[in-house]
Amino acid sequence: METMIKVENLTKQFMGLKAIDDLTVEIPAGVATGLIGPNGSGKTTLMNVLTGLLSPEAGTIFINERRFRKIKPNMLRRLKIARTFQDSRLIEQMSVEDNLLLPVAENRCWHSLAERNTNAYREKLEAVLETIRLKQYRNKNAGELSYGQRKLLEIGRTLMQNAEIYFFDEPFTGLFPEAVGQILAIMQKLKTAGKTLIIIEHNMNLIERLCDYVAVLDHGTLLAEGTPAEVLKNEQVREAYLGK
Amino acid sequence: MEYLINLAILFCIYGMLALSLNLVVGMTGLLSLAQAAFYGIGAYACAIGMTSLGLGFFTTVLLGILVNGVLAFIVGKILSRFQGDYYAIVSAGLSIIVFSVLLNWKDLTNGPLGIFGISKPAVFGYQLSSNLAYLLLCLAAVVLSYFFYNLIDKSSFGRTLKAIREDEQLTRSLGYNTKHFKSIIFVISAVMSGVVGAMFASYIAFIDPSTFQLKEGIFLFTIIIVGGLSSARGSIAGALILISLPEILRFIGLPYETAAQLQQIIYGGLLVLMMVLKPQGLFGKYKM
Amino acid sequence: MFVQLLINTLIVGSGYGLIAMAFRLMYSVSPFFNLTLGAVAAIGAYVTFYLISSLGFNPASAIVLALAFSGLVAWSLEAFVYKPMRDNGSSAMVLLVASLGVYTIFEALIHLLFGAQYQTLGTINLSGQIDVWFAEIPLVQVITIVSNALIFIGLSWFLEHTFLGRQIRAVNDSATLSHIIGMNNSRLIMIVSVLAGLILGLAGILVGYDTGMEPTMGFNLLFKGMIGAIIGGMGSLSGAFLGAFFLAFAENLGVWVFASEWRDVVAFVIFITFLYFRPKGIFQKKVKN
Repeated sequence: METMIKVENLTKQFMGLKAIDDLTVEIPAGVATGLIGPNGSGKTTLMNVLTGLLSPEAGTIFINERRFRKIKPNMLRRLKIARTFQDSRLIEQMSVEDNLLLPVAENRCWHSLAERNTNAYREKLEAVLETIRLKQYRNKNAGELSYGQRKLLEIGRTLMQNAEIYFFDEPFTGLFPEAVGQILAIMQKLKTAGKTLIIIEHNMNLIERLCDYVAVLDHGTLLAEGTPAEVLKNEQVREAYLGK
Repeated sequence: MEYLINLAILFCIYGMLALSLNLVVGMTGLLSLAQAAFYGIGAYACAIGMTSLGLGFFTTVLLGILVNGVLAFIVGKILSRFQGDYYAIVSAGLSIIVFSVLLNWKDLTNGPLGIFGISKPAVFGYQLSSNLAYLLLCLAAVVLSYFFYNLIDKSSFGRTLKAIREDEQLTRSLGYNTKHFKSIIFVISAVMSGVVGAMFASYIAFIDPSTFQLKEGIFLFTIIIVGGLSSARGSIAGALILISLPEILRFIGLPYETAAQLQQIIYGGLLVLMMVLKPQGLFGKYKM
Repeated sequence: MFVQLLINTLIVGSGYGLIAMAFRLMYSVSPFFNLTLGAVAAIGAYVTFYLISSLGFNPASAIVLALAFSGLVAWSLEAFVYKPMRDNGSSAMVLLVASLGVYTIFEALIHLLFGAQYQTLGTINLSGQIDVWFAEIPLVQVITIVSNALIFIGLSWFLEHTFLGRQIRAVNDSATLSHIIGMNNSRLIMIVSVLAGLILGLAGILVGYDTGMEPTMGFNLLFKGMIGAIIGGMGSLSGAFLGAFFLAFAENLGVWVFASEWRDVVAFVIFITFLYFRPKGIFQKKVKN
């Protein structure tokens, strides 16, 4: 398998506490990778470092063979990275439609001043609204949506982004089975389209259904990696993570 | 009749100022108290240009746009480092600096004595000597500003600004150079209020620094808080309410000094009341 | 000349220091830019003025009453304006705007009751001079310097060694956390409000004696105190204390180099420059991560 993301000797501390400790891991391209591990094992921290929310103290990051010391938030568009958050981060006082259109405008001010959601965006918007089934809420503010609708809207926003790499931080947590199915379908579709997915998830069933590859983190280090079946057989993983 | 025309012109001037300020405070969520500074610089550019330099009105407007544009670009760059309440305090400080310069750079601004004899503009060779004609010019300008505000409001640019006011980091991670966006809208707003300043100066014919104090910036701020944040309608409504208020007090027949202070008390009370009951203002679309 | 500069720094900085510490104390439990703090200082000065000149109180009892009144005003603002708003989930910006409104009301009230003209408490009393080394310093300025130093020492001790002080510091570190572990934040904010009100009232009275007062004094004082606290670093009381002196020094240096009408410009340019290049303040220790 080709490698999409690679981190080498990555370290990230919080007040002297090593959330990520000299971590080296590779994430394959074009498949779904599950990032698992107990709470506080550094999964979200790793995701935050890779999406520019945190800058690491040490280590190197390779994305698509390009080398970085750290990622800055405004590099994500060029790197074709999209993500969701554990607690959905939306623009609360903005309509569903505008939340979806937000990532597609030009970065150049003067262009975006003249730009009026050209038809290409409109078509895509309709398609995404269809996929996440929020058509009838399009003019509602994001702040008025239910928990599950918020999760869907955030995933919809990543779909608008034309990304190659998708990070999902606990996308299924707290959802009804119907919504889980909906999101699973979206992710399967992304996989079919050859995108790279990185998913943090606690539910091992979902991981097994969705992921081709799993990396297990514990105390900021890599405990194991491999296919879901391999990893689940690993004694260390069972001990650290499943408590068996 | 003259009284009403005068009042209508004031409405227009404050309506436009409120629209320009709402671009920054309402739409982008930047709590700027510095608007009076740019208003003042525009007014002084017009006053100095028309009296000492003998330029025509529209040339001085261009001059004001140039000065304000450059200054606002620098100020905006400085301010883009700050957020929330720090932004408010730093912008207030910048407003005080500009006021001090207008007051103390006597060679240029004639200091506290102000500048007299600013004339009204000529449009296509027609001298707007009557107040009624001037009112028409102002109305045209208000309508233009209103549509300009809505143009930005409906554009992708406006959407990005509204995203910045809630979550700048997220907006950045969606691919926008947010500092640049903030600085551009700041310049647009400053230039707009500078043009209004020129219109004010040429209408009133005499200006002195006291009009452009921090207090004026706070007053403009009050207008959009009451009328409504992030709303063109709210800006106009706020200006109507707050400009007519002192006139009503005057009709009651209070002595000037008492009325002026009572007016301040009502402004203050309105601010508190709005913050407690409806922080987004009457027609507002954004809640701080 | 340089010695004069240092003495001026000491005098002016002590005045700013009182406001800076009060602002900083208040900010540590209720983190928004509370502009009404300026009004409280002005109220202290004007109430003293009223009690002495209109009701014929002797200065000592007038000052005590005025201080009590300042504390009361600070307490009632907290109890009837800010606490209900905070309970409603108002953001720091909303609180700031509300405090702007409250400040506007107070300033206009003072203006209505006492007029816009400059007034001073100084002619009434406390106009003696003290010879220090080789300079003559008016008594009221000596009192300002001493009370600033004493209040700094007292407050530092209070924050370090008392239960209440430690609670204040805990709230400062994390308001939500201290709420979770069951500390009564709003009671704490009330107590700090009264304390800050007393310090502010004192500062206002001292300014009233020294340079005189006008309705807008509160805003000017608060701004200087705020700048002092911010450039000193909002992290600690000593930051506010030192920052006030730094501001006073820079201002006096600016006045010396340029002219006195540029005082405010110098103050704000310094403020913005420091905030721009050292957002954590000049005296802030570098904390790793």
